[in-house]
Amino acid sequence: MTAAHRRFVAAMTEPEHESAVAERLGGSPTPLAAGIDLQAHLYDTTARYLRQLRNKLPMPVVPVPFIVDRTGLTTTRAVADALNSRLA
Amino acid sequence: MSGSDAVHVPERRRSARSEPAGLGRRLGSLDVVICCGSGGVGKTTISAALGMAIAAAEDKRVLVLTVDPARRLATALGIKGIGAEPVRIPKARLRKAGITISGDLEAAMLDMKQAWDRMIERYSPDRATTKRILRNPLYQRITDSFVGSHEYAAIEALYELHDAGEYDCIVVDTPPSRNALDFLEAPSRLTDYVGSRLLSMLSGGPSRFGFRAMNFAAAPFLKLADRLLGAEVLAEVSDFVRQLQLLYDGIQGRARSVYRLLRSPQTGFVVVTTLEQGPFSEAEFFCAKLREFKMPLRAMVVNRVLPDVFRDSGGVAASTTLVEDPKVAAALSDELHLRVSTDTARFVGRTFLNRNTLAQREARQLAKLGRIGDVPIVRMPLFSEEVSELEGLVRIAKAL
Repeated sequence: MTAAHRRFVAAMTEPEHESAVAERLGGSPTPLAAGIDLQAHLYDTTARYLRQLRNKLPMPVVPVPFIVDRTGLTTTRAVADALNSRLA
Repeated sequence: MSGSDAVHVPERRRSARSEPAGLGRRLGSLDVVICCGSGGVGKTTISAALGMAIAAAEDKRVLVLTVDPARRLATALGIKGIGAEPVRIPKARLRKAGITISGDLEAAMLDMKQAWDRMIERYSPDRATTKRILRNPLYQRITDSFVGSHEYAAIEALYELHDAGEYDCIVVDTPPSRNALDFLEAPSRLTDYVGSRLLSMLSGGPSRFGFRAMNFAAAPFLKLADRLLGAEVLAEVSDFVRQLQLLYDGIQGRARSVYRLLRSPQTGFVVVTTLEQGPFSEAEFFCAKLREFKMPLRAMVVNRVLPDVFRDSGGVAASTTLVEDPKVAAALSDELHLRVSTDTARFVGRTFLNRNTLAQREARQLAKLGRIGDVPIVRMPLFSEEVSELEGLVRIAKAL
């Protein structure tokens, strides 16, 4: 989550652009702002906990990304990749 | 993914079953409110907020009894710490955070060791037995490792507090369990444990249960244990178990009284869950068990529900274009007079679509709530910020 993402969503939902953007995208961009807002807050919370864990635990702390798909081979693979990239 | 994929909870069913607010008043007439659910669903926070909602709705003295030793709840309640002694939450502080309570709100944390020690004192036939048990090195180990020991301690503390009659309403945050059912089964499990054949065997002598024959059967086991542990340890175990069996009558009697309280019309269970598969299935199972045990289920709180905006079909269409149309970033750069990279456009689209997938899954789970029966259901939205301040807890209390 970067400032560029936030700027982009804010610009899309500005009143002077909103209808043109909605026409180009085939739907209103307003709900997307809620998604980015929630993502940003969750990201901040996770980052804070991660910092606390790293400061307190004498071992590697590996963040495994949030995976939306149901449990299955794809998920297992994604978790394995995350572990591999950090613990290698 | 398209908008037509979105699963919507039928409005009619939702409006008929969901309770937007008023749980504080609805539960305020009860003596005991027990919050149950799997670990990690937000039980402690909901219990505290429920206590707050009850104290706001009714002019009553309310105690929230928590088992969570984390400082998080103390911080959320705006106090320095919570111990075994109840702490009053200042009304002025609550008012400042946005809620006015007519009654009193206090919070206490269960002291496991104290609860067990008091139980031993209560059920021992004499002071000598109490002393022997409390001094036995095995005692602490057994009380810690006994399945359901936290649950039993919570029930004991609840029973004692209720019996003392100091509070109009006690809200109990049950211990984080592998299985929420542990709480309901704790009293009978302890009775079974203390009266079990295994303990009779370990006590090494004829017991009040008449398992004299078992000692012959146990002989090879005891011989092996003697060789492995040494005679001294075995004697310690045997002595401890023999003393423990003296408590049987008291524990059995108490279990009966506790079950009477749990089934009383002045008691209410509130099942807390999220819409994740594991906790949700367990909550459904728990509701069924409450019915089976004839214990009063008063409400269900579905915590951290994604807002409806994530099922908006326009949002899904816009996100899909951002993810799939390679020319959209350039077109939007021109429209917005802002440099938009393809990666940025895709990230924003994918973020929404991921939440949409989860929101659809949640909607399917919500539709299953009809199976639980005629129980008020409160949907608590996922708040993007953490509940670490009193203001956050007040927001939840108001939503309840």
